[in-house]
Amino acid sequence: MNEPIDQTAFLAAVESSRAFIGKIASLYSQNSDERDDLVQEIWYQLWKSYPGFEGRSATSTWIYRVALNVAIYHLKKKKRRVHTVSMDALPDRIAELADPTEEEKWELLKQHVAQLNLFDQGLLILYLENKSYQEIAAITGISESNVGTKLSRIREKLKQQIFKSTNHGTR
Amino acid sequence: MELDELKSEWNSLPAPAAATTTRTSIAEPSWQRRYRQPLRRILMGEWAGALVCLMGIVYIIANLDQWVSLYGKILAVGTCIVLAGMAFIGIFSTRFWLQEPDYAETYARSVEIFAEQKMRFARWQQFNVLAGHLLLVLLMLLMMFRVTGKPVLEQPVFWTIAFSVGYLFLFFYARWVMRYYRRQIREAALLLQEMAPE
Repeated sequence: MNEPIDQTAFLAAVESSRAFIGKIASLYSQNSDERDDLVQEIWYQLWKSYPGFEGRSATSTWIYRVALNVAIYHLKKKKRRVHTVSMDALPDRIAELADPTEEEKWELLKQHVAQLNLFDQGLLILYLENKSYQEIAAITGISESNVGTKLSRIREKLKQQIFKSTNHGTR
Repeated sequence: MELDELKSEWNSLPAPAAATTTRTSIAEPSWQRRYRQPLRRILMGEWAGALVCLMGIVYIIANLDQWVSLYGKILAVGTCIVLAGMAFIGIFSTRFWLQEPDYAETYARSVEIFAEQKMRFARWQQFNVLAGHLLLVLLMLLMMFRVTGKPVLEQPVFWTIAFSVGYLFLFFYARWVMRYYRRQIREAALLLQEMAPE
């Protein structure tokens, strides 16, 4: 177990997931320093667990599981609540922001995702990553039918949030 | 925002710059040590509290002869027991922060463990708040014996003012803290409930 890890093989294995690691770190952190810390923590845990991976599941399944689990542990370390933000404060759509910067787009994405509970956030992120129901089920450990049901509920929740904010006359 | 719109934005946004740098340093021990520090900072507060409790016990035992009456000695021993209990809970409950998840575990299981640990920690902290109530009463009685050398019932003014002020403060502070932990437990329980299979 203490054999040196082949760095080239490791980087090749996780290369395709760099963007996902960065995005998930952005969602689960509150500022750029925290995000950078979380990115490095995810890389560190992938590095540590790489020798034990042994290809028992798809590489992407392993990477996504580790990344999501590190994000949860990060929340625990920061004693962070998954708190909700009043929908009155959010624009419904990015199109409503005049010339949104990337930072503003990320902020809006984060705030919408933050409306969901911790588990649904993970489900949503995997769906946004174009993962199939089968892959999402493998990563999360729930059945495919449960994935479908929960994503339908998430879709409804997001629609209701738009409805609520429209009816409050804030737009 | 509709789900499809979210998906479109997610795919259009590039990953933050931090993710694109080459991670050649991850094998370096100094880099790995840096990431253990935030956890130690969190634990320091809990351990510092436990240390204060233990120092209190040492002080009381070292000065046990100052409380000459039987009541004084019983109060002193009772206070030590409560302090020891609070120190134990402070250290024991930090296991929650020390437990790293199995990162290869399924996401659902990790979230379950997270919620269960949170609930357990919040319940232990609630118990500590209640113990704090008892400790305040014991300490005031103890100090009054020490300060005036006279039994409680012969000092009604001191008793009334000190206890009222101290207890009022503790009442409102403890209420606020208990509400916080009750909310944590409720949220964690709701999360577990929502994760149950359909």
